[in-house]
Amino acid sequence: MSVGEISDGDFAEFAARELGGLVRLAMMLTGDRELARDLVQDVMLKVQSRWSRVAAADSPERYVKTMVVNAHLSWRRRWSVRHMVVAYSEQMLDAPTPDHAASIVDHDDIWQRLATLPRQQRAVLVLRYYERLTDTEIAEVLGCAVGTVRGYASRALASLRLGLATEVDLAKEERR
Amino acid sequence: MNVEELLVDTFAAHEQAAPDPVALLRDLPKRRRRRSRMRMTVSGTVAAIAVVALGGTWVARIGHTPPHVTAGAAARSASQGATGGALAAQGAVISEADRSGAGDFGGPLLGGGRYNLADDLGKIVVVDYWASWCKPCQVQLPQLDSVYRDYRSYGVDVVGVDFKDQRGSAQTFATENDISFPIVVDQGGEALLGQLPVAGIPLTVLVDQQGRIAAVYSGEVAPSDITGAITTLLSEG
Repeated sequence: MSVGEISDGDFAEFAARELGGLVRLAMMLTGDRELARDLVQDVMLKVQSRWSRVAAADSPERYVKTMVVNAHLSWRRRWSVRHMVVAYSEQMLDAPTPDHAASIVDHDDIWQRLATLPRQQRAVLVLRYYERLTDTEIAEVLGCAVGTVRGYASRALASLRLGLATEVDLAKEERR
Repeated sequence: MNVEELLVDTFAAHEQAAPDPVALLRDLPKRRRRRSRMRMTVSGTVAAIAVVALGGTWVARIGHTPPHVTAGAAARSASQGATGGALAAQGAVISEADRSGAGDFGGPLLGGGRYNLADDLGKIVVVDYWASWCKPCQVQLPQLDSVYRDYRSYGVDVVGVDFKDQRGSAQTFATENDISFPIVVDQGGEALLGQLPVAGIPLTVLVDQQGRIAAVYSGEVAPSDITGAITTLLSEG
């Protein structure tokens, strides 16, 4: 095999261009910096080994993002071993009570609530509200029906609303 | 603010916590190295080598290993019964008896004209394969320029080989970083030193005063390692 067969130039260009977006997507999916890093590392190694196939895709960027999502969804073992979900944060209630109960709900709270969701539900929320994909596009990424996507989204949002409502009620109780 | 709006804000707020893509880019080959095992070839014959990288190099699958790309690894290769195939330890040089010719290396220069290695016979030549899209190369090239400025009066030349790159991007990078050594344009990946394949960049090769390959470093190499090798070669006279 000659040097001329090397195609890593294209791959390296792709990696340099897309890696930032991929690690951010992985961060949103996993909620964990180290897991995100490992996830993208694993995916990029696969991408490199099958670069010709990836490069031939209509959208290599979307192809690889789909790989990241699917790798995350199938990463059960490492996820369960390395990631402990905090179902409810006592720290949130121990924190000083603000003037308005609703303002307790900040980004960190939502972030923690996201960690309690099933991964498919979280993935749908990430793809819809972070990647700004349509439900049809999300269905293509996940390889499921659009109705399934909407079901995941609906349940995920309901869980978050319920969690937030409960939290606000508890905060109000604390203030009384 | 409803949940949907909170989600958008939350995701945006956590973008900063994502791992540094540049660090990940550099670390990726190292992880690959841990996953794969480099096979050394006997007599430089064809072998499907797993992707191997040292020090932050993107390395493609290569069909054969250099005839004897070794230095500190020479002893290891010999002890393993292999005649070559190892990559040099950074900073080490190949023993004189084991060096092979760098061949008829040359090509068009980025700034115009042509470079021929033969014209540098009698000098130590540091040949650095790089590209503007290669992150480790972006770090290494300015460092090599410092080496060039410090050592050229001692009979040391540095030549860059812009490997499979866009000429305009290379020119911009060289200008912005004030690179003073000549750069050979090699968009086809054909500017080879002897039988040495370019399996990944950065790849830094030292050619001794007799036009022989004296060291091959794959991946980022510290300037001190290069100057150390140069010193060794200068001491050979």
